[in-house]
Amino acid sequence: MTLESFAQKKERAIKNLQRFLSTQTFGCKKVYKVVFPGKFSKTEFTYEEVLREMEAETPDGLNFIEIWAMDIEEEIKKAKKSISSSS
Amino acid sequence: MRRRLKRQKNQSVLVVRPRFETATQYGWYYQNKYVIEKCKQLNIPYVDLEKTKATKKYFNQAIATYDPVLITGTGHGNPIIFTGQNYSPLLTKYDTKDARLIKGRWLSLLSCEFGQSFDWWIWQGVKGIYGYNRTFYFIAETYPNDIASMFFDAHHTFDLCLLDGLSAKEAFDKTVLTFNKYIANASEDVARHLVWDRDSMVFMGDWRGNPFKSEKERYKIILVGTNTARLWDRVKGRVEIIGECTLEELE
Repeated sequence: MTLESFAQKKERAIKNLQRFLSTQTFGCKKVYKVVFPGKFSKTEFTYEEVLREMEAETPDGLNFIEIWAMDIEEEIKKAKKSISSSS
Repeated sequence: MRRRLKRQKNQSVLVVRPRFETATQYGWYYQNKYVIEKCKQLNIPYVDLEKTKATKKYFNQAIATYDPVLITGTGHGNPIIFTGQNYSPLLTKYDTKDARLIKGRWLSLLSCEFGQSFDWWIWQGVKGIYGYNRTFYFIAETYPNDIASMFFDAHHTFDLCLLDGLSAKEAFDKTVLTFNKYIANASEDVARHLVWDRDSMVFMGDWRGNPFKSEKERYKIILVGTNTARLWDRVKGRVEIIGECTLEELE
């Protein structure tokens, strides 16, 4: 397993953050526009800053942290196993 | 309301699909693609409350008039409210009038966090209710297809299974499986959100039941023959198989 450099980590975090920001929800609260007006060009924020702000300000920030922290490789393995055991 | 219905007790489906911003635009599209198309295919009567019809006035009116057995919809929500067009509340926890309105019915609601109040609705006499107890995320890129279809396809598996006559338990399991199929094949960033939605699914109520079948219609059968696999394919979901045997064994 190779260790990610800080730059790689940051790039991955930004990519995931952008993906998260492209999500829509069926929740009644519209958080992003209120909390982060115009802050999302790559040069204007650091991942840590965004996390900190999201965590502090919004429930969706907490969700994002949980989604980001998920062991996705393990989840994909479990999903594949469940498919093969059902067929 | 698109289709005029004769008043048919306990056979129709009420579809609620507001459309006024991005999320509901997607919900509106996919409710039609999956639920309404399936109703047409199976000749199940349905009432379509779309766009400006997805308000409390029409919602109450449609239930009183058509007595739907299944209410399925997409709309914004929170732990105590399910909403329609322009966030107008359609169902509110602790509202006893709402409770009386949907008593004895089945519900499937794509709405954030509303699953947190399901225990209360069941306590009020709802037969079965499916939804999400946390925020439901989907990735919206090119409307209406692209990545979003994975999320809506997985969600609607539950409704399609109920319409096909499967029990709530079978419908729930198949929905989990559909989510898993997409998780296994999606890119990592998409899979994360699919895992989140799958783990937010909640159903409460009659696990063995189905809106379109009464208790009397549930059969237990023994498959007889040499090629029971084919027979199984034809009857699965409609009956409970309690055994299999060959003709010789039967004699």
